[in-house]
Amino acid sequence: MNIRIITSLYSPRFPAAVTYMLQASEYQSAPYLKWLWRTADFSGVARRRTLKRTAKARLLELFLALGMLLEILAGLSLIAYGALSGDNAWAWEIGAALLIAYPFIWSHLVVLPLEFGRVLIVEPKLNKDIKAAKTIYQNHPGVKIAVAGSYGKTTMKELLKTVLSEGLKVKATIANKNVLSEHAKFAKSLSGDEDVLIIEYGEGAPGDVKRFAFNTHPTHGIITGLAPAHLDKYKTLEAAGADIFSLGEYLNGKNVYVNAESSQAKAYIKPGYITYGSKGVGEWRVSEVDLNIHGVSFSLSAGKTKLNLSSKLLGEHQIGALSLAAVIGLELGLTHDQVIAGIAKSKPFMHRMQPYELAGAWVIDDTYNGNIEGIRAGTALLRELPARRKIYVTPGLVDQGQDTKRIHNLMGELIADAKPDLVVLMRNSVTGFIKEGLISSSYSGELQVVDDPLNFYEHLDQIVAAGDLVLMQNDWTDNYA
Amino acid sequence: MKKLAVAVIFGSRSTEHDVSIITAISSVIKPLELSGRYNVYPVYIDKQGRWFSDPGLASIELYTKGNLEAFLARIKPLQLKMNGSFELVWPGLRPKNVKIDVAFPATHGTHGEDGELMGLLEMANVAYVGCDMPSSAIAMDKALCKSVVLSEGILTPKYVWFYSRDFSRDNNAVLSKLSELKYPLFVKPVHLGSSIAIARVGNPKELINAIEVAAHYDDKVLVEEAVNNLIEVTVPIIGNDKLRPAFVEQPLLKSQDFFDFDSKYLHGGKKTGSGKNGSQGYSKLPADLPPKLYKEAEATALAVYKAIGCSGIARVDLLIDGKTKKVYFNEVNPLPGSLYAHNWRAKGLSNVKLVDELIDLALERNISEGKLATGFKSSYLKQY
Amino acid sequence: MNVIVDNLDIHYELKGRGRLLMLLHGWGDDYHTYAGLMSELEHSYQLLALDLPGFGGSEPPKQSWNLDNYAELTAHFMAKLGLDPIYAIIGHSNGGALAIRALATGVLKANKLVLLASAGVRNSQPAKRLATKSVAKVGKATTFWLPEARRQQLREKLYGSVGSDMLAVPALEETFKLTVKQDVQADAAQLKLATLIINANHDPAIPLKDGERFHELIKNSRLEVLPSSSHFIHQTKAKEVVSLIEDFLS
Repeated sequence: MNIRIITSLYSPRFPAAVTYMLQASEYQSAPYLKWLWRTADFSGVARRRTLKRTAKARLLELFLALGMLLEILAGLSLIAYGALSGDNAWAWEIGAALLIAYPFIWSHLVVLPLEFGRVLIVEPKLNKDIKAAKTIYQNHPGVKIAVAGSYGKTTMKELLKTVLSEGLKVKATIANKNVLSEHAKFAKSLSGDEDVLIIEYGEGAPGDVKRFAFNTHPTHGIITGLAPAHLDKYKTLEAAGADIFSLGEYLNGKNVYVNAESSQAKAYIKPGYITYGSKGVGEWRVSEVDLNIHGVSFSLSAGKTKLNLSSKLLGEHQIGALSLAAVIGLELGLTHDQVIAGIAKSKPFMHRMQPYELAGAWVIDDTYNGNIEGIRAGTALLRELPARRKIYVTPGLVDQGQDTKRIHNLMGELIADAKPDLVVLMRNSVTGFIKEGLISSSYSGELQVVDDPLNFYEHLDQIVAAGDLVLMQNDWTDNYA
Repeated sequence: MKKLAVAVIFGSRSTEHDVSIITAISSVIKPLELSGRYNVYPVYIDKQGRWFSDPGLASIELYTKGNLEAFLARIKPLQLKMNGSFELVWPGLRPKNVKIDVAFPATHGTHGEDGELMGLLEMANVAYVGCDMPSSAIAMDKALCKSVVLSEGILTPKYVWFYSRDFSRDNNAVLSKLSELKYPLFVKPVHLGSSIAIARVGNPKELINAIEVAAHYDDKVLVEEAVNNLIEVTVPIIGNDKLRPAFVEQPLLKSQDFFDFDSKYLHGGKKTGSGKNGSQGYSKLPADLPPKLYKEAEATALAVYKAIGCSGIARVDLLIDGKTKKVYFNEVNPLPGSLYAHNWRAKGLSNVKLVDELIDLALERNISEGKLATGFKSSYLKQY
Repeated sequence: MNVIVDNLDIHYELKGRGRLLMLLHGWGDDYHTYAGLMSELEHSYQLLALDLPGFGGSEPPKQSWNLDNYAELTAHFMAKLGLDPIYAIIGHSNGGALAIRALATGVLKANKLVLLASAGVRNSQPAKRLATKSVAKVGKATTFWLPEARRQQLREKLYGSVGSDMLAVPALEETFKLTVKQDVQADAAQLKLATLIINANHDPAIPLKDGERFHELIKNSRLEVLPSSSHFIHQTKAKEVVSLIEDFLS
């Protein structure tokens, strides 16, 4: 144990560090405790992001500080008592124990107010709201499209919204607000005259998707893919698949769209489901594909009808979702021109395959991507696009449980297939696994392992030059450092 | 792989002291650190000539916020050890030593770029980045440089040089020598860089005033004819034996007759907003020249680099008469401000790759020098 | 352009055609302060703007200077350039004090004078000056044992807190003290030439009553007050200042 570890525990900044960890764990006790037990040096905890002093955070910080102060005072008094009264050695010892133990005790006691609050206040209110929401959804006359899957949900949702809004009144759940409580809030915000509702399903544990479906009453369902995710709760991929595809069962196989490019999802496809992918959607066929750094363009045709579409989204893997949005748009009554205009308006979201120019180079920012399918799509694009020098940057993926080694080996192989000239890895526990993958695919370019990611990103302009293409994928928070 | 110890030396007793700080911190130290291949030691020489080394010296805020003196008072001046190698020594009860593998001079102007520092490093037998001592010394004397280049058959505007003391002793003699030149003329101090005290003059009165200014700063003054239909270009080059030019770059000027200190270092940085382009606020990259003339400019620059004996890196400034298509040599900068990183980047060489290559070139030159015979057994001493 | 005057490298600009105007900047400033003004006036006047020694692109004086040293240098500078006689001098802040002193002592000659938020009434803010002075005295007495670098830091903090611009240019500390001591009210009283005084009503550096004082002292003067809370009226109220000056000079 080195001195920094000890000073970080007893530093006046310790309560702030603990509060920061609580906040970064979204005030969930289990991940917070796990993080707490894993951390030795608390001085580095809040290095990359800082504590947002919300009312809740301040209250908790105050609770911690006061608690610690009380304990220190108690400890000191006991020591003083022990020293003065002479024969009460126990007081001295307990006092010293209290003094030493205060950071450990209070970093655990802080969980109590959180849990009490949850059971007594938050949850009862939530249950009431959810019931009310169920009625709202049931009575809503609009088309209700549910978007489920292990990845690509947000992209699909936003894409649909962009395209359908060309001729319909559309409302969609925002950002990653995709669980029961958020669906309830979303229901409250509806005016009732929307033509289309788009509801994202953020599965996390067995039975989630089924519950979402019974609560939101969808008329259409889109399953964007299946991959190992949230395996801490689902345990197996099969269990996750069964839950996600319960959406199809809820809809009795009608208006169910499944991403055909997700190899894991194939086993769950039933007759009547419509598949979509870079080849097309149902009857609709994709041709004349052109990929470049500014986006993708292609033709979509069925029978004698043909639409020439182009989008600012990057990568071949977007064609499936773009085609599906176009086809649903047509089915819901949009004109060709409206669909073409809607697709043309679609553009990358922040940090999701978002290209920008830096010092004459092109950087594709895919830092919000956090799954292996996204890595597959990104590396495929890196391989396809021409560049003078290609650079791939990643810290690796998170939340892969027992699959960590296998997934990161695979990641290394995918990166090697893209043949970058330089691979930059942010040093952490998975770096070695990615390296193994690179080596097994006989990667021959340069490899750099970076210890200070912030410094690296801040000075990216010094690392690139004109004609370079940089792909940055997934940047995890220090939650996992 | 063991990391190379690299000392980046900057500052020094020069009118371009401050420019050197920017070159060192933004264009040398940062990319060296980012490369991951080196342990970087910033070595700062203050305006009095004292040497310091401390990680804190690599932060630009130290120099801009005005608390440098207090910082220097806290750290001890550095000592150097030359024991068949080049070592930095931090004195104290437990002195700390670091043996430097490669020195990276990032000094501009006098007591640095002019070859003095290179001579010191040469004596210490340490590999160092950039031009060697003789080529730096030649490059820093604009008059000497012109005569070397002329003897290689490269054009340069008609010029006269003289000692400042001769002008103050008998300016008529000097002026009569100058009368063979045709106005407008440029007056330059021979050794100073960054356009300090350079003036363009159109009549004898202005000429005398301008010579006084140049002589105020330098012991040698150069007066040369201006090139008509002027297109000014500059060509950064790296390499020892195999040379590699960056883009031929055309600085664009606004309302100024020439590249003066203000537009080069003060206004340029402001106008671009980022400050990262530093000196090169406005320029055409690559220069807007007909292909043949572009090629000729590039070839002339390479020929100058060779003639002067440059190695590592240098930047050759050329003057082109847009009508006659003649390419004239203007001057050489052994250490281009900020390494002209913006140009290299546009050419496809990132800042990090650029410093990597410069370090490699330094090592390569050091090795090839080692192969030269430096002595042979003699019996002189025995005969004594 | 640069020229050597009294063995100092002086940076200046000469442009425009017409009667000659000389522009003098204030403490810690340089002639670029007049960039806006110059681009207007150059159409009808020849403008001569210089950076005073120690400021902008000019070399600092080798000793500590007072206003008389600056005045003398300006005169030598004029002689060196061999230009027409000066028609008017425009001085801002400390440049105004310099103009008053130089004209009163006859070192410079001009037909007209424009004072922009001119300094030179040195005792109008007794409280502030007393604060600065006593802070300095106490500071000196109590910090003598500190290393020089630390003292410098403290000094910067202290002077910063009482609003003095003494340390805007630390190398000129002594020169600043000398020029700041120099009150030019007696000089102003001797001036006979037509003078335009422009002040801002809420200038944080030079109170309006300094302008009123100059107006009182200079017989042939006119005071114009502009609504502004900036000391740099020639920049913040450029249009008004230019038209007042053009009107006054024609």
